[in-house]
Amino acid sequence: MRSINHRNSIFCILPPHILVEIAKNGTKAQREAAVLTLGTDHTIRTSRLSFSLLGGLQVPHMEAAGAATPQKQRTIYDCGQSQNLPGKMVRSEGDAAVADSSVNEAYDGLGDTFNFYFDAYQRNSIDNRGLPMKASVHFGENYDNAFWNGQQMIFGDGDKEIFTGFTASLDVIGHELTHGVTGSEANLNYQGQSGALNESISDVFGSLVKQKKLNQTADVADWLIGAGILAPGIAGTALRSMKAPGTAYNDPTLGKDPQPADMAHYLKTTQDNGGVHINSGIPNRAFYLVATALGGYAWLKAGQIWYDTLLDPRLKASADFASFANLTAINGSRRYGSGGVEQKAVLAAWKTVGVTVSTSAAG
Amino acid sequence: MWLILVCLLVAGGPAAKKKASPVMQIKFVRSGGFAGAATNVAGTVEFGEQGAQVHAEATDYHRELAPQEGEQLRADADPGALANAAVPATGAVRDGYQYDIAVVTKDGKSHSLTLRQGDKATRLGSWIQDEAEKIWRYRVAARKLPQP
Repeated sequence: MRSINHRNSIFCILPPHILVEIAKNGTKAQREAAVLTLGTDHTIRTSRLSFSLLGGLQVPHMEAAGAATPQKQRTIYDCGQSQNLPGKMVRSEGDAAVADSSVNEAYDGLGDTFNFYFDAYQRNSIDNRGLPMKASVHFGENYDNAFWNGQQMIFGDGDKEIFTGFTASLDVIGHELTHGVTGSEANLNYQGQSGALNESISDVFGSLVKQKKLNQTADVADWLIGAGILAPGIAGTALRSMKAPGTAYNDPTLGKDPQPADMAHYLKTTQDNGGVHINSGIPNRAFYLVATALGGYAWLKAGQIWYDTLLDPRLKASADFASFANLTAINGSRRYGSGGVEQKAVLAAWKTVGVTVSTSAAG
Repeated sequence: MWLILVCLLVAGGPAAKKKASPVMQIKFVRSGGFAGAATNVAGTVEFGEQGAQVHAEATDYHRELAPQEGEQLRADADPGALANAAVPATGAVRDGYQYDIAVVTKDGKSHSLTLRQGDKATRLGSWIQDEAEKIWRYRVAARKLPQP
């Protein structure tokens, strides 16, 4: 690696957007110096910029490249059915398993998710800087939810009649931790289409965490979210189906799965932050279509394209489906070649779900 | 002097404190959460001469509010107080619940408010969250009952 002394000192005082322009359009020496300078700025945004200019994960993150092998730092807390966070610490990194299965499921799920991100994308934890991972279990009494509060994951026990417990499904844990990843990267607004993309990205990588753990290829994966948390007797297989949105459940208590499979059935609503858990079915299905068209392990190519897009500095917090789709086409082309089967699969998938990719992105 | 004192007492006495609330109805919807629409809950509180009662959509849930609870809720839902009823959270909660509240007053106007999980809970917000959870639990418990 080049010595940092080689860089031009003028770059130290240039704002990131000018460095980006130099990195794109300068001479070879200027480009290298600008990229090096961007790499030494530790803000998240400039980290993403330099990452993209270096060609995404063709070269690892600057921080990760220079660091020792990342180590997991997991801490699990027990809320004891209260809603006081984080609760009592019950298991930390390296501790042996305990008698409480929820604690162990959360601990193992965080580990599997950490391993997935590192093995697949060389990502060092939630923020790519080794952020310790925290989770609280037994939140509330028979609480029917799991969520990310901006700092940690929180899991309810479920009521046992409908939900058996939210730590029981690895894709749920992967989903929640991915909210942290998204927050560290594009930080997509949690409203409307950008919010549905935020949810979809959590479903995509949550599903991929499970698929990798089970060593499943795209054609044998179930593409279900929350399959392991529905109690026996519920008329449904899961909470969401990425393969066939709108078909996951149809139950007297839960109602019918309202997810649309394409833009023709996009639901306009003010509830649920503009339907973030509903319209996520559209980009979810787009990902499923890309993954199954390409075949093999979904995290390798389809997942890589989606991950590159999540880290792409051009992905704005307010992104809509079309702008996200454009970037997946651009990143598919950049990584695997313009006009290749990967980019064609991406374009076909978005067309199937009714999202138009611009001609420049389709290039 | 005595006349002024009597007037002041009447003006600031119990009659003035019992000024009728304009709040006639509170509608609320809980949405969001990891499960999305599957765990949605909708309820309505009706205020009348006989007190207040709450009922819910999609179930036969029904509850008469104790007089004190009803009066307090009605006061907390006063449109003048609604502006202070939501204190947005600074954190970024994902998969949290959203609570949409609509207060209908005597003049027929609807005053709306949205609360999100993680927002600092006011008395009205806490009541709505608790009631939505009660309705949800009622729906869950109803599964155990033999179906007609």
